[in-house]
Amino acid sequence: MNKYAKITFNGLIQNNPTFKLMLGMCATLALTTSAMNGVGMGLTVTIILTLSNTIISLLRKVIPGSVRIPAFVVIIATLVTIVRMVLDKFIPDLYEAMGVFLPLIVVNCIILGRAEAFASKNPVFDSALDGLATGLGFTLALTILGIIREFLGKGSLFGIQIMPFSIGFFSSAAGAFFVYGICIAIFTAIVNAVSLKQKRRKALNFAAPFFPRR
Amino acid sequence: MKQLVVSAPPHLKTPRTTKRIMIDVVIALLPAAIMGVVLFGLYALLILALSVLSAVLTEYVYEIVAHKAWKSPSYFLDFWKGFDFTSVVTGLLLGMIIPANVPWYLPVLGAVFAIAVVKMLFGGTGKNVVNPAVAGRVFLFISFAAMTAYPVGKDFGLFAVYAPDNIVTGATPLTEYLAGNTVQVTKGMISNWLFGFGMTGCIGETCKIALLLGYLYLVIRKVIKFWQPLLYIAVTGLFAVCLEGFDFTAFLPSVLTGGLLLGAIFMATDYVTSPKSNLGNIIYFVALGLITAGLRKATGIEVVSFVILLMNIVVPLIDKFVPRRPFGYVREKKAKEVTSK
Amino acid sequence: MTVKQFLKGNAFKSLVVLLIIVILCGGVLSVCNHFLFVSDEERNLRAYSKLLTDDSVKEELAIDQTVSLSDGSVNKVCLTEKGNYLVQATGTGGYKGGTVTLWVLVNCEDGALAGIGKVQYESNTAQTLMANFNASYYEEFTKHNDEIASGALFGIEEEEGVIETVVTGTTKSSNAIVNAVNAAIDYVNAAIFGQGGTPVTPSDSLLYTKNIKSVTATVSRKKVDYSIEVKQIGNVHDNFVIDISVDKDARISAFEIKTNGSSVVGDTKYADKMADMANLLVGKNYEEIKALLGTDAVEITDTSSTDASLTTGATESNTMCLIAAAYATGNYDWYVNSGAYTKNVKSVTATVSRKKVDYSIEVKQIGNVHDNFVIDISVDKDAKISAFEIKTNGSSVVGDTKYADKMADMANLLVGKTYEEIKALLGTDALEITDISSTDASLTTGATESNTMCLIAAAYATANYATFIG
Repeated sequence: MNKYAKITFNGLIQNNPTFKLMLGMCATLALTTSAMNGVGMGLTVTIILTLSNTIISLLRKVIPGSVRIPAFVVIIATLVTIVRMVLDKFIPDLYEAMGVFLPLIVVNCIILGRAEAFASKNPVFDSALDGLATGLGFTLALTILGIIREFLGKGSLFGIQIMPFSIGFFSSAAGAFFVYGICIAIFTAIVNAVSLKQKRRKALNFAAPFFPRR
Repeated sequence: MKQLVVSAPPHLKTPRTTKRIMIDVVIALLPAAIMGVVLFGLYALLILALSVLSAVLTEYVYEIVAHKAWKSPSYFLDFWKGFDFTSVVTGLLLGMIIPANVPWYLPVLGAVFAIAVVKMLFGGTGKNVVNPAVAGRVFLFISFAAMTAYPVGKDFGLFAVYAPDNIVTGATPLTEYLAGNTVQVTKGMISNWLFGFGMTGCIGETCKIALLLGYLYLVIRKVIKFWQPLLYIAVTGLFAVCLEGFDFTAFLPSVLTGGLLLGAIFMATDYVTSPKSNLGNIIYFVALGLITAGLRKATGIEVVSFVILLMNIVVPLIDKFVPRRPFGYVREKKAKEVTSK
Repeated sequence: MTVKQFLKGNAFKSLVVLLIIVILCGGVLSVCNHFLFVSDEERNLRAYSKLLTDDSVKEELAIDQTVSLSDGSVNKVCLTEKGNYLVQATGTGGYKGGTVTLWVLVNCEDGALAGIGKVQYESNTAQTLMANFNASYYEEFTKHNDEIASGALFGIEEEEGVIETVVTGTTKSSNAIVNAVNAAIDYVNAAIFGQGGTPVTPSDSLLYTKNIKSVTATVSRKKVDYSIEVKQIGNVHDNFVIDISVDKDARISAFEIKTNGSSVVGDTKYADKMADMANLLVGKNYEEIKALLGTDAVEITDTSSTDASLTTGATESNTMCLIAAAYATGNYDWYVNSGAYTKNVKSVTATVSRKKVDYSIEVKQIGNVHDNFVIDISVDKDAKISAFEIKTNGSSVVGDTKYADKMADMANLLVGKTYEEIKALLGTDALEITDISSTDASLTTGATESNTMCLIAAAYATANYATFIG
């Protein structure tokens, strides 16, 4: 597949920050108590990730290698602060729901990780796409976790009460780890099964000339 | 050279199987379970039954799915031949450590969680990191508010006793005691504690005499070592006395109220989740006692299940650093005596 | 290295780049801040708008410090556009002595308290099971507005005038929540509407009232015989009932413990460990007893200041005896001289609970009335009579004429009246009624003196209400 599709696929699935790379777990575990919070956090990280990747990619030739980490951190911190101020002014509910985890995005490993691994070495558009894809992968993971935890732990979905019955365990920290672990297992199983199928198909295709179908 | 016997293992057969030990534990639990039903009514029997049934069914379903039994249908019945009653014990224990007035789905959910997640996901019998019944209770405690409202056991009025004013709304004697109210310790009160008359608490934990009978049975059948529960209970009581300013009247209330006896005899002594060496066990039970008394004082709620859970997780650490006596090891000194004779 | 080398080197370049980035970012941030700043006021407004869905806060009021609330306190009071009051109240009496803080929207209509509009949980101290209280529990508080408007309060036990709201398994936390809501209601009633606060009374508060559950006082000439039930303090098992007599020098002339409420723990009877209080206290006056209590406070909460000579192993029981003695001597003057209508009353038993006082008053006969009346009166939190019953009617019987039958229907007439209204019926401001010359004409039914005696009992009850409540 072409370069851009590969980048997108990597960000969403192959290098999914939550289920594969297991980065940014702190925010994941704390903010998936409700699906809305999960989506909110994911989108915020996506925006910051895309912007930071773009800026860092723009500056990649300018920033010397020895000070790249402090430079990245300053840029990311600035972006996070701006986003904080915007949220505080215009979406105070989300701002309060995220609480202390909004400033913690600065040290979210995903952002620094992608900046270091990709944005500092690749052209602008690729980096932006990578940031977007990774962020969306993160959002997807958080949404799934949020839906499961909110449905089982509170009986509601995106704030709308669906079931009167709920098991408080899933809203707690213990439940967070538990659901997270189960989701990683399921995700890995699915990805492995799919890639196994693909490998088999490739192997069959390769061997086809030697084993003509009758 | 004497005869060399060559044969296939196992070379030493003993009638002690897991199944036999588990049946012994069930028998030991029966007096407390029966007293629980007597004190709390037939609904308690329903809860115990639901808990046991759910636990067994969960294990059955899990094994069927794991072994893909639809491919080899004989497994549906083979399972019962190899059934080792561990889930029966887990189910019964879980039923006994929840209050008698919880909705029916609580023991079911708790048993499913205890067996499927805590036992089977980690590898089945012998591989669980924490005691499944304790984990099931903690799961229920975190999830449902119904776990905090304890009903009052029937009082057959056999012992004239001074009753604290607000025992009716379900404050267990332990919470009363921990909230700072003096619990008048009279002879009648102690008798009620021992027999569980008019006491609030979980189904199996109020009748201490029944629990002690179970303890004696387990010791006689050599299922548990006699000193382990005693050490736990004694350390808890003594440390509670220390925390109350060396007031010895605090010893009996802290020992005879709450889930301490049940936890010490049946749950802390579980083979799988306790250390393998003697010294490790001493450390384990002393730590259990200290933390139980300390946390009870600090938080004012019943912490036995949480403390057992905590210490279960620490056990691998204890095992790593406290060396076991190797199987067959004989102390050097005695060996020297033998050779010198 | 030389300056030129340094300027060309990597370190300088890194420094410059970093500096530029930092300055640029700082500039961008300050520009953004200018546009996006959220002030404290805006934050407050946001918090309020979350609590008030179709209303908004007009102004924040200062807390009236003279209002005393039992079991709670009020932290913030705001007046809303619709004339309601948004109160942040803290209730005590929770688990392990902790508190719960709530926001309570008190609705008002026509200048009076109409009910609760909303209750929102804010924070707590020392509580453990706050998760047991869900939204429907807090909503329950908004469903009893009729009862609240007529004076009921929330409580955790089934009682008259109490709306029971409790969650099983968390009784103490429920207690704190209920106290917070009641504190909000009480505060609005007292500070904003001036109701249920200190009504008109000619005398000061009695001392130690908060330590006493009930008092029977029989006043004769210069002597007062009390039977005092002292509330338990600390670990003492039960209340004490003590008979004390105070003579004309305001000294204790007799002291007898009728009911000893000391604890019995195992074989230890704390009663045996008490000091010989009777011998110790007879002949002492108020100043001497206050010295033994060790504090000038008129409410004793613990034995920390009690004189060391009473640390005999049952210090709390001893202190309870001291409290009874202090009450007896400290209030002697009031009973004999200064209480309203005390000269008309032979003996009074007063039982105080929350905001209600139940009296049993023996009114001395006036004029031609044959005997004293004994009347049971209850006064509620608005200082109005809520119950009135003549237990012993001392009217004369002359031949076939029973003057009792000629009396007005005093019970119906007096229930719901305040002190001012009763004083109007008495027709005089004097605090001792000697004849019926000023009694209102409507009571001239042929048994005016009997009617007036009923009025006197009612006047005593309402006028001294605040004094007994303390």
